[in-house]
Amino acid sequence: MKNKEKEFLELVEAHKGIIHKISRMYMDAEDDQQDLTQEIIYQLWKSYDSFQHQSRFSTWMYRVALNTALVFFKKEKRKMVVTDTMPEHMAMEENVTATKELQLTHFYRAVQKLERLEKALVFLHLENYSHKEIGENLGISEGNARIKLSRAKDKLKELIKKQGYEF
Amino acid sequence: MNFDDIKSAWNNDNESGNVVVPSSVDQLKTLQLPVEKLRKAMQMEFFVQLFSLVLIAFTPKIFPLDPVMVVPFYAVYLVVIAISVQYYYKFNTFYKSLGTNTLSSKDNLYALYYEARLNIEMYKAYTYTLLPFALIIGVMYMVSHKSSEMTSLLAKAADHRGIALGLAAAFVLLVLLITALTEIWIKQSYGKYLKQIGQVLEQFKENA
Repeated sequence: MKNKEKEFLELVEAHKGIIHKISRMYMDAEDDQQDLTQEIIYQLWKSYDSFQHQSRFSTWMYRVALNTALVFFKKEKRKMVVTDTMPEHMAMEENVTATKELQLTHFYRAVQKLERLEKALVFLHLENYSHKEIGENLGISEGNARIKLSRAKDKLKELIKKQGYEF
Repeated sequence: MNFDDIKSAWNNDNESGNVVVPSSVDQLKTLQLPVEKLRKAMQMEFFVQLFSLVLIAFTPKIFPLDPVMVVPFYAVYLVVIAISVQYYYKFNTFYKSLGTNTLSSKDNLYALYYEARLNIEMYKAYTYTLLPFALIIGVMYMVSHKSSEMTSLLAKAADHRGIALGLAAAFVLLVLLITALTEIWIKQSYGKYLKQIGQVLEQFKENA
């Protein structure tokens, strides 16, 4: 195996948590998440020459992975309807699941209903990016990033409330 | 729950789920990006058009043409080929650029979107450019078959204004029909993928 390929695969392996989180945010069905995961790794490899080692791999990875997720469309036959309310079995699990895990479950369910760009904004926000950095990453102005993120958060709040979870 | 809680839960989530990094990049393949679908549609289109062009070369063999018309027919055919070669050259350039386009920035998405739009316009222009040539070939066949009903109708049209107007209207309708079919074909083949990319880019606008 060539050095470049080896180095790339090791870097992806070390940062695969990012791919996991993006796939979960953008796709609701597990099959679609796997497809998106595969597509992200493919696009990362395709763009790998554009990665300048001066910047962090994760920073570059965010950009390519999010751009891929932005224009990734699930297979028609797999289209799923995301309901506002939580299924009963999930509600029952509430007692046994750790709070953080439950919060994440609610978050991922709600986030499915956001626009594609809004998901990217929320993702970068959760990764502790400032408005300026979010703007730079997505190619929009700082002000635009601030307004859109604020709107996305309001929307998310409403969606989580609709699921019957206190926010 | 508030956003701090989500953030805290998010930071604690060190799972990588079922992300399987392949052992070799050869195992990687692309699936559902509109760009790839666009590329596939273009590839199919290219082969269909190439096949049609080859088929046209044999038209005088399949549907006999007056020997006097054979040379003019191939002269027209050569012009069609020359236009097609120029078009396919540009078509191929775009096809290759689609293959090398990376998703490393939003600018690349924009470039891709506008190049795709430009190419669709080029495709339309190419189709409409070929229309007069199709008409010329049609006339050649009519002249070749002097005894045909169409020829006698044309002769009648010279004396009757009503028939002449009817024929002109039929011709206009035919051109409109071809135009409409081209538009529908483009919309079906490329439009939906372009729309998908366009809708995403729309979200980036300041006032969106």
